[in-house]
Amino acid sequence: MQQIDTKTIFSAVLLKEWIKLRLLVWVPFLVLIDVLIDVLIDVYMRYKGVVASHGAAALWLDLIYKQSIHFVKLKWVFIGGGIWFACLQFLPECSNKRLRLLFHIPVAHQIPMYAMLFVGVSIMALLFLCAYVGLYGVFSFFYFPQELSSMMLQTTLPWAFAGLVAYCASGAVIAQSGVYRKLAFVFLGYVHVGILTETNGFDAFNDLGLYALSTLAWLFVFEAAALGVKEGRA
Amino acid sequence: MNELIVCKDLRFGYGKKEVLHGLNFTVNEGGIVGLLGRNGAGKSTTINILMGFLEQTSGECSILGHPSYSIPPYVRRDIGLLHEGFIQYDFMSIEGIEKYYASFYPQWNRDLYYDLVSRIKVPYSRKITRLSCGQRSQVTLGLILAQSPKLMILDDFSMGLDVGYRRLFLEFLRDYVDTYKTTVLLTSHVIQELDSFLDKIVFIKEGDIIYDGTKEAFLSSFYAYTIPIEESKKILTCKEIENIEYGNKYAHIFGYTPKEAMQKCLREFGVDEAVVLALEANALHLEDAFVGLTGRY
Repeated sequence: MQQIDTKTIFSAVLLKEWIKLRLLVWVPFLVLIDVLIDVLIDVYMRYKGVVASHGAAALWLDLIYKQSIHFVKLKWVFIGGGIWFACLQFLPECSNKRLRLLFHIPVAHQIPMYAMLFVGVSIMALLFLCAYVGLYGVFSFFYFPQELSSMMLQTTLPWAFAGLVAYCASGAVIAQSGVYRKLAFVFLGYVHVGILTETNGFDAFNDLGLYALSTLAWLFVFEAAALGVKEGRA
Repeated sequence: MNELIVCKDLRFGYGKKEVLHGLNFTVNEGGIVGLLGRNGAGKSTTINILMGFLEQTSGECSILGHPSYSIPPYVRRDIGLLHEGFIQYDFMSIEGIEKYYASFYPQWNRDLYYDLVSRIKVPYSRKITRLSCGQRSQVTLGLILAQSPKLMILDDFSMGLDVGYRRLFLEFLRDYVDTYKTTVLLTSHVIQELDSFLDKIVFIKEGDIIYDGTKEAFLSSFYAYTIPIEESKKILTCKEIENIEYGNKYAHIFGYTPKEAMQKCLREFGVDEAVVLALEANALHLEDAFVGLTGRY
């Protein structure tokens, strides 16, 4: 019997994902650029004002002791980006019982399913990388010391996990056909995103590994939701 | 002869309501089999079990020797599925979707696909979502045929198609089956065009198989008679009669009873002798016989 190699299958899945994503995948990246420009202007005006009215000491007080986060808008880029990418990938894949097509192709359903998730997670990672580089550029513009920049950048890590949770939870909500299970995924996703984005200071998370693991669990939730098609609920 | 589909005492229920009451039928290698029934008869449930999207409550259902709910991936290569409503990745173009599916099937017949889709006269770069239902049916059929399957399961292939596309679909399918000796199990609401198309029929009514055999055997053993409505009221309890359909003045009675035996039966129930003597079996097409057996309401 002729076998199909995994590379061919992966190329086919990539082709499909590219077709789904190519037109609108750029939107969160454009939003990110807009947010970074906004952060740059906002931070510049704010710091200029603080230095002018209270002096440089007040600025250092704000940065080191109060740890005010002036780039909090970024978390919405990650969360919104996750939801956006999930909609682009999974709405055309799952609506109108189309998920049945995936379950009939002659390979284990996990291969195309996790290949799709791999594509989504990779784009999320790219979005985060762009945000990280952009934010680093903003901090470099103000000549922040390395220690401070590093802490500020690490603040965004849980937000990136929150974006991944938003992505996976949105995918599960779309794939799931039962209303109550959809609502359960919405609730769980909302709570988890809330926990990951609740930040009052720089680098407030000591258990990033734990949060990463809890985020990883969401990758399997999509499969669980999609299997509803096999159980005949779709 | 190889049995490609075997259903034995197949039962299924949604919650406590059982909708399939122990179906028994087989589909042997070669030929086109129609699983026909009215809306709500249990066709879609049966097809969903065959496709592996539902698991039966009890009984056995196997496809190509494997339980339908857990068909191994390599066996799925030999099964072509047409989902109700011609479900496809309609965000893809005609050429894009061919490229996608070709990656999964080692025996992919690209020429066959393009032979079929070239007839709809649209650019191959057009997205499937922008095609009409008829055009989409051609693309979907092309994808199934190009897969070179041993068995095709076509769920309600006629849905949304006008008569031209229905005939085109059937003509292409017939040619393909004759050439490649593929086996087809199909369901349809439109019986008209299937008359000269099916090799075997399975009629399903309210979750039970009410006929399983060749079309010729069915049509040569199933009779329709016409009698006045007043006379028909006398024979309501006659066991020889499968169904009575009422018109304005006449009632059409259907059953497996030949003329002489039916006349005898009518006499026993006190039907007017003139009506009995005038009794003639009407010639039936498949659609008439289908309505006669399953009823209008």
